[in-house]
Amino acid sequence: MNGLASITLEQWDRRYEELRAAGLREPEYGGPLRRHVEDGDRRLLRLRFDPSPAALRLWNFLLTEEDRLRKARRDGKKLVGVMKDLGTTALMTHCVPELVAFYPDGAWWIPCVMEMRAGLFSIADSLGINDSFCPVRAMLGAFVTGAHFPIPDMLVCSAGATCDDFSAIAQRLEGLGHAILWWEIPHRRKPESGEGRVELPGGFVAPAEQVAVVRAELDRVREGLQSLAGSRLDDARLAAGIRKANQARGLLADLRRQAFTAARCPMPALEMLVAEMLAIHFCSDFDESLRVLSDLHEEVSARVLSGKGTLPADAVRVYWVNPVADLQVMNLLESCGGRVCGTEYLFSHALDPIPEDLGPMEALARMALADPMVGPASDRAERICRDAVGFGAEAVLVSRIPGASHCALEGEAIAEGVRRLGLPVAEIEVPSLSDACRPRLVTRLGGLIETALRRRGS
Amino acid sequence: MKTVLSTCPYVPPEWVAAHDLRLRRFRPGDARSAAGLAGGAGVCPYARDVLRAMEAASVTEDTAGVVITTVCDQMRRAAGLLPGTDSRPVLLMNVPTTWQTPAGQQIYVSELRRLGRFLVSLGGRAPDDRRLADTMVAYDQARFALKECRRRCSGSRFSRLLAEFDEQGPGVSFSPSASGPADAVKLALVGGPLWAEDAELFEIIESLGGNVVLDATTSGELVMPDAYDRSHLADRPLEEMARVYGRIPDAFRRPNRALFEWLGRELAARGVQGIVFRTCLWCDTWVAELVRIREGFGLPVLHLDVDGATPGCRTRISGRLQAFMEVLR
Repeated sequence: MNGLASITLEQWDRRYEELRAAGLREPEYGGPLRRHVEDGDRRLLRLRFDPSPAALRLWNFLLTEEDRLRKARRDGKKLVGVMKDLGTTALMTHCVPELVAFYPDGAWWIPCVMEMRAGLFSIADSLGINDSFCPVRAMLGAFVTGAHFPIPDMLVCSAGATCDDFSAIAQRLEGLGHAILWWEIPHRRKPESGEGRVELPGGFVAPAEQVAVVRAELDRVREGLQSLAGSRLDDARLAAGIRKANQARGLLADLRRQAFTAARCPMPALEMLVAEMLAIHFCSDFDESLRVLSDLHEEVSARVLSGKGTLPADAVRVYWVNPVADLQVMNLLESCGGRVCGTEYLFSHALDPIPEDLGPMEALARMALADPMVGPASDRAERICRDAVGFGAEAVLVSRIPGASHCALEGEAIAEGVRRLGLPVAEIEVPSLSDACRPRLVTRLGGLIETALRRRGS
Repeated sequence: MKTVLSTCPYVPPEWVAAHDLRLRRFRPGDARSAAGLAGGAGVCPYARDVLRAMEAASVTEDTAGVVITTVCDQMRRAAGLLPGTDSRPVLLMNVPTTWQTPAGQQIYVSELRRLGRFLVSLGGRAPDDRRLADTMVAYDQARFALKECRRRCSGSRFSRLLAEFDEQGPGVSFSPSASGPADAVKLALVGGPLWAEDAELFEIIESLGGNVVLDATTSGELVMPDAYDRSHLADRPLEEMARVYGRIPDAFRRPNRALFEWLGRELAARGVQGIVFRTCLWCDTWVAELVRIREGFGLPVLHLDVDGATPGCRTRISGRLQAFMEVLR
């Protein structure tokens, strides 16, 4: 038997008791997943999970971030809310022992995880940020209630080549009295004739002048962090942080390679999504995130070696573009006969190795400028196509984020590139709770899977 | 003279003119029924119509090139859908969002230089500092004359003058022919850019007994640059241009408090009685400011949300404006 079925929360209750009886050892944030439901995370009742202790640790780590942030504050550390850039400023912050970073942007999953019971969208509505904006508007409500993360001591936000909805929401936040250190990230363009060119992590190129601008802006962020911490953020600390981040990225790269290319899918899409997110901000504990990823990596490596998988061997290999506002849709693809093999969740720059042979600020500037959202849609499409081919995808799914300013125009650019590869491509839009549109989503996903299967047979 | 097309107020026409080219800063026509680029769900109608206008321009006009800027995410991405051709090269110009730091200034100066190289590639001639300074002075004087007209013009007349100036440059003569009636309700129009057909919006307001005494749209007075400091023109005119244009307030700037400072000052100076806040479908940047506009100035606010130019929603707009005017009288 090579099957390893994913399980419901109810099944996890029993599984947890079995593991405990068998001597399961857990970190201090460990415990049954059920307790998170009791804290209000009701969406867990409708998800299917991987049954491994490594996945249990991953979920518990993710769902206890608020506790860690509150403990950090009690321990005298300062909290920095880093926004929008998805990776760079969080890494810088974690290099200062007196500081802890987190992404308030992550509140965009609260309406899903708490099945709308937190009322965050209603608060955003009352502040003039209605449902024409992306679900990240939940962040505003979280700041107002203070119930989902502690209000940070400092806010840092990238501006410029970012999505308008996030930028407008952050500006609204500042209007409510939360001061923000804005830093400019220019639209990445190709170097012109006579300009110095710099290759960025992941393969994009940019003019040397733009890299210098971003570096100067990140220097301003560094000064802000130093001032808050009352401590130096020197190159040695940054270099050490980059080395550690690269460890996490190395683990993730191999995890992704194995999970996406193994004959049988060794880890469900949902757990892989959570694992990838750790690379952005380390879930507020850099060292522990490495241990969590190591556990998961070990589990996947063992499964690949023994040929075990969580899905049928003939599941259609789908490359997934953009994160989903409703986590359940990751399960849905698998129940429709697909498996995720390749992802681009808007933060590929947080997965690519950061150069260690450069000065750390130069390396971080290059990383920031490699953000797929900072450049033209054609760059992003090119990378998606390259990765889709590399992972052996049989189809590509573009998941639109409701209200997001970038989704309106880039979907077609991506789809066009994918069609040139001869692969089927579909676009879906996933709201924070997708139950009402589940039949439509099943039809779209089913259609994509069937098309890929027909193509396989021809 | 060869023409360069743009809709963005951060592309200085005097920089283009100093290169012996003409900038046509245009207001697009409403093309909601036309087929073509970027008509999909979630696409900003204004970005859609700018793209269509630019696409059509290469066929129908002596357009040497097109400049799109990064002031909004959809326009930034739309630039990628407008393929540059030999007959119509496209430049996507970075306009920094932050304005209060040396980096923001540096990006803008650098992008103006890049724009200059683009203009030369279109057949323009790079100006020396003297020529640039003279051109800046000519535009400064024209804008001064235009601003002087403001007090003696009705809102609709001034909007037309401004559109003519944007299209044709300082050669336009400004004659204020019709001032608004003295007892008209004084309104400010606040929001994003206007379509060509939005001249009708000013006329509807006037027909209802109002007058737009402050056009704080990004096609209006809001984005008219301040006067140059003449003492800076002799040695570093380009930096002076960047300084003045870099300070134009707008909702997209981060932070955007300069917009609210400007509005507070101008609303008071013009004796504005009510604000018509007009936003375009999917324009997150302006929609997000509605509550601050409502709370910030102690004035009644009418929010008009549109998905295209005024004629397409005339009935709805007229009814709401009429009700608003009745409240204000």
